[in-house]
Amino acid sequence: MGGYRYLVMIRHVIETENLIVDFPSVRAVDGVNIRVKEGEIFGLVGQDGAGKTTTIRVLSTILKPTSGEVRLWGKDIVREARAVRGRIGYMSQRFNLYGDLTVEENLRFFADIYGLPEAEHAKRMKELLHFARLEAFTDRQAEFLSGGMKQKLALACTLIYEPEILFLDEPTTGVDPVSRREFWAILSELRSRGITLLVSTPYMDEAERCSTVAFIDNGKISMCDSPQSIKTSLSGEIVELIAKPQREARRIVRGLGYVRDVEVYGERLLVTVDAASEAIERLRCDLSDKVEVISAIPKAQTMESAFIEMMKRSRQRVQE
Amino acid sequence: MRLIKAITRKEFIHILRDPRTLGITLFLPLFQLLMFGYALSLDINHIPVAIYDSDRSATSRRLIENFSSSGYFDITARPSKADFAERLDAGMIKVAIIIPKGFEDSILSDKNTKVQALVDGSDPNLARVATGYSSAIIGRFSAKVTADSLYKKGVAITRDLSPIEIRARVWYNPELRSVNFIVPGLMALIMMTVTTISISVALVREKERGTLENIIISPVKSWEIILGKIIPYVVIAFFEAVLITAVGTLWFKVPMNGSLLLLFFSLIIYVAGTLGLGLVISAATDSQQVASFGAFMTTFLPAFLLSGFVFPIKSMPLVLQYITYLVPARYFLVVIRGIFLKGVGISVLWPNLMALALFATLMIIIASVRLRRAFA
Repeated sequence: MGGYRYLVMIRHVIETENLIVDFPSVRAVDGVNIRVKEGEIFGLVGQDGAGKTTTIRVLSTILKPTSGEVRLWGKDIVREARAVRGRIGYMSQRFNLYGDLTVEENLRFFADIYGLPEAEHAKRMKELLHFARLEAFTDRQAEFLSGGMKQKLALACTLIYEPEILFLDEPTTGVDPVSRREFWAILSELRSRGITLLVSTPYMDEAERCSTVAFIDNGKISMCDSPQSIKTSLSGEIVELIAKPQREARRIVRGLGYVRDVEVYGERLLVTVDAASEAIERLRCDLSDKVEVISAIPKAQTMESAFIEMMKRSRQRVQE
Repeated sequence: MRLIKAITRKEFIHILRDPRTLGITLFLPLFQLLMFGYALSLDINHIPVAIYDSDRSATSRRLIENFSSSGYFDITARPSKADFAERLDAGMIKVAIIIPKGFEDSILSDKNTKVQALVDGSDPNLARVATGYSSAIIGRFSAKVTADSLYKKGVAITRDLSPIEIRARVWYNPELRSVNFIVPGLMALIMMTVTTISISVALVREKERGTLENIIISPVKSWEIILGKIIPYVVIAFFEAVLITAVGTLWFKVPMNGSLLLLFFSLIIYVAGTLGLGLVISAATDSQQVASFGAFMTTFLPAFLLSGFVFPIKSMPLVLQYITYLVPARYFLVVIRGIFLKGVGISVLWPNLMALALFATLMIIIASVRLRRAFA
């Protein structure tokens, strides 16, 4: 038993057990259990106010949990805060560097307070400025950077002392699409260096880039799995069907027992089923004598539809 | 040490890059000093007085002459009838003197007579002083009149009619200039408000902008944050003190009889405490407005009213007298007036310096604990 526990602890660098955070008027986090493996990108996905920020603030030792346990590398973050601080990095949703300090001064301040040896300063700063593509702006005051550059600077600041776990709270909210893509390229690079990343995001395309996604809603984790499994289990698979006449085809398809949902997109019908390849056979068979099937191909499911499906289900649960 | 240095350096950059804050912290005190230095004079001169002389005699004119040459009174009106009420109501005069008809005749015929004085009591301090001055002038005049009349009767008086004179010698401030008393007091008042407000706003701003979080999750300890924040403001306070001392001695001509070194040493202990107080206040709130208001209320009012700055502690109700022991300005005032005016040294002032050091230590400990509790 002890040996097993040891193994688990190595694999999971972040563990929460029934984490609860109460604010005076609301329970922001309501029994969250997550386990994050070393070196993965773990996505915390949910709407505004779902509890993402609060969860991240507790994990990064800024906020004390009301009850429950949080362990980083098996260490309780309340009792052993000092042991985990300095090994973790936190990047807040809001820009929280010093606007009146220059890019270089901000980096230097972080290097100082995290006790980076003076001898390493210059080398490390040069490396990070390059990494964050900010070399040309070292003397610019942070408040005069663009939104995307601000976020990259914030990331560079948290990276200056080489944390092993990085918590990022909606790092790309309010950032233009090009910068967003660039930012995620940087995150992938960090992951390949073995840093564990826990990222919250409201964007489904970003969720898709994570190795594990946890949906959070009303302070509860409603689902936690790899993006592929979530998409499949939540919303099944989709068959893109082109048939003539479309109206007749739609009427028939809607009546079939193995079809969950049909939507019309121009000349195409998007048919939601459990397993696409099997359904294509059956659709061809069921339709062939009544309408002309021009094509029936499997189509990639998106995280977006999985998320919407999940919201639908949780709303139904509330109504029941 | 390196961590403290890092925070101190950053704090200096904030202060130096924000000309408005720098201006406020350096020049607002100067402005306050000039304003209070002039407005808050406790000396009473040139009291406007109206004299109604219904006797119109040589003797009454001599009495009036005594008033006008005293320097304490300005005779602003000599109305032809006794209509003082309006002038007193309007505040045009503070005192009205009425010399009755037959004033000279009574004196020449050795009868007692009366001069009436109406005094505006809405400012009790001024009324008291004006009454005192008038009685003194009239008292001296009547002694003179008595001597004259005795002389006419062949009795030569060689000495003064009131033979016992008090020989008062005032130490430390021989000319009794109230500015000598006010300016050192202002230093205590200004230093306290400016330091407390500026540091509490600076810390709350870090809370508001979320920048404090970065420091909190770093290995920096809370006392290191506190010290790192306090040091730059102590330096600024030092410059403010130099400025105030310069203006006080060169412009207001306040004597500086003691040791400058001791003055600045005491000042550092004093502002360490007031800065600690500012941090305690800012640990308790998340809004800059609340912080600056709280800092103002806990510094300006007590330092103004309960420190002995203007109002003597000994004449306060007993409960208030006990409360004054909690006001650091009380101790600093004793120190700073001692140094400026009495020229005394540490052998006399040490109990007050100890009290200031105790206050500073307490404030810094409380601020550290509160900061740690808020985030640990």
